Amino acid sequence: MSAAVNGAVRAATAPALELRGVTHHFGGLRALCGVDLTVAPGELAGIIGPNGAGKTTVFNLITGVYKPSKGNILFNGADITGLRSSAITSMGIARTFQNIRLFKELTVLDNVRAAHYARMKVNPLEALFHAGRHRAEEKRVTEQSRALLDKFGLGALAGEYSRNLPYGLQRRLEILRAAATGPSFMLLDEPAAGMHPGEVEQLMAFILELKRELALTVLLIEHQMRLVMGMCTHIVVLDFGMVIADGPPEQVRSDPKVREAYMGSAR
Amino acid sequence: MSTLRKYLPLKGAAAAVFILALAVSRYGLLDNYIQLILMLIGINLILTLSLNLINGYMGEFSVGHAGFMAAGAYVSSILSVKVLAACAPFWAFPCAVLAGGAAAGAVGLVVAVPSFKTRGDYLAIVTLAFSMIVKSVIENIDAVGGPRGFLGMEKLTTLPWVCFWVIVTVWIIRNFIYSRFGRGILAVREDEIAAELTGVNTRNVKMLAFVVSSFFAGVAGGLYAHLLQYISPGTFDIIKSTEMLVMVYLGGVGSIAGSIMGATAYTVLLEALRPLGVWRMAVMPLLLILLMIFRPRGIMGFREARWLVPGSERDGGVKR
Repeated sequence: MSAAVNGAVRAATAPALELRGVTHHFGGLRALCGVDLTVAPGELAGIIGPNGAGKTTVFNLITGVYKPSKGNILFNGADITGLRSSAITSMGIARTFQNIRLFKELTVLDNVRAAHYARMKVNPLEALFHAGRHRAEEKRVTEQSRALLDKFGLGALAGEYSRNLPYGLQRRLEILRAAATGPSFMLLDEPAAGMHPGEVEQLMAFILELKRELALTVLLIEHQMRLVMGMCTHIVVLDFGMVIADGPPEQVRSDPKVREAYMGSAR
Repeated sequence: MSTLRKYLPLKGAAAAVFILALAVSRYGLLDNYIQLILMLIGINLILTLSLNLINGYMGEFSVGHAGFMAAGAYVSSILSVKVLAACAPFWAFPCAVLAGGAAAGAVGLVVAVPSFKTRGDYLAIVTLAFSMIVKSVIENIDAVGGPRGFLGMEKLTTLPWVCFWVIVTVWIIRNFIYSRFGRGILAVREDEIAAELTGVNTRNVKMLAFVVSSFFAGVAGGLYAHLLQYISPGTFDIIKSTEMLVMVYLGGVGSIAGSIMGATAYTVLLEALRPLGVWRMAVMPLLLILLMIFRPRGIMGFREARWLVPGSERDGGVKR
C-alpha cells in the first residue's frame, strides 16, 4: 500500500485526499488501473510519469470531469466519487489546466470574481432585483478579488482582458482564479509548461507563497524535474496507468523502476 | 463618489422617458403611426435583449425565441379575453402580460434541459424544433382558433406600458449580467468546462438564463398581442426568430446598448424602406451580409455604453 511507504508522519492525520483502487477506461482503453494515492494535509505532492501515463486523467477523476469506472475518491474523509465538478470545487478542491483555460474575453478581475460563484450566497431573485444583500456581497467579492490580485502582483492589470496577458501571467492568473474558489486543496496541471528557467523560478516562489498564505495542500503534475524535485516532499510516479513508485523525492529518484520507465533506459 | 450619484442620471433618464411617453400618449403629441413605430421598437428591444442573453452573453445559439414569444402572446391573450375581461384594464393588463411572461418562462425551463448536454449548432437545432412544436401545438388547439388565429383582445398596449416594460427589462437584464449568475453565464460562454471547475454550477446558471430570457420574450409576446389585437401561429414562425437574430447581431452580441441600437435601427429601417416595396426584404438581408463581413460582432459587439454600466463596475478600469 502506498500509504505505508512514507510512514509515520502521514499516518498520524487523516489524508486530505485519497484514491482507493481507482480504475478508469475510455471505451476499450485502460487509462488507469487500481491507482492508490494518498496526500496528507499540508503536503506538496507531485505526480510524474511519461506522456500518456494517466496523470491528467487522475486530475479529471478527482475533479469530477470523469466518473471512475471503479474505485473511490475521498476528500478529507468524505466520498466525492461521481459528484458534480462544481460541487467538488465548492467543497474545496480547485485546479488549473495543462493548456491554460482562462475566460479570455473577461477581465482579469472578472476571471477571479467568476470563481467566487460557489462561495456566494445571494439567490437569483435578490440578484435580479438588485437587493441590498446582493450589492453588499458584490462589493465584498470585488474587494476580496482585488486584494488577491494586488497581493500576487496582478492588481495593476485587473481591468485588462485576460487574453491580452503575457503567457506567464496567464498561468499565474489561472492559479489565482483557482485560489479564488476558496480551496483547501489545489491541483496544478503542469504549471511550468512552456516557461523558461527564469520564469520557472518565479513560479515556484509564487506557488510556495500561495500555498503558505492559503494553507493549501497541493498536488501537481509536472515534467520539469527541477521543479518537482525541488519543491515536492512526496512524489507519485505513474506509468501505463499504474503507480510504480510513491515516496519522498530521494527514494523515487533512486528507484530502478522509475529510472527505467521515466528517466529512460537510455541512461 | 456615492453610488447614488452615479445611479441617479440613469434612473432620472428612465423616469423622464416614462413621463414623456405618458404625456405623448395622453395628449397625442405624436401621431398614431409614429407611436406605433415607437411601440414596435420597444417590443423589439425587449425581444432583442431577451435573445442577447442567450446568444450574446451565454454564447449559445437559440433560433427558437419566437416559440417563447408565442407562449407569452397566447397565454396573456387568453387570460385577458376569457378571464380578466371583466376587470379594470389598468390592473388586468399587467397581470395578463406577467402571466404570459411566466408561462413563457416555464417553457424556457423545459428548453433549458437539453442545453445541459447539448450546445452550439446542436442546441440551435433543438430550439428550432421546439419553436416548431409550439407552432403546431397552437395550430391544433381549436379553442384558441387553431391556424386561424386568436382575436378579441382590446388594444391595451400603449406607449407608457411599452416604455415601462422596456425599462424593467433593461434593469433586470443588467442586474442579471452584473451578478454572480451573469458572470456564470459569461464563464459558460468562454469555457464551459473551466466554468464548472471553478465552481460555477453551469446547469443552474443555464436554467436561470433560459427562464429570464424566455420570460421577457413572453412579455414581448403579450405586448405584441395587445397591440395588434390579433395573433396567429404564423406570426411566430422562423421568420420572427430570424428577425430577432438580425437585431441582436446588427446591434451587437453581449451588449445592452447594442440591443437598443439593433432593435431601433432594424425597426426604423424596415419602416423607412417601405417605399421599396418587395425590395425591402432584399435590402435588409444584404445589410446583414455586409455587417457580418465588415463587423461580425455587430455595432457594439461585447462592448457596453458607459452610461449603462453600473457605477460600481465602472471605476477601477473594469472594462467589459
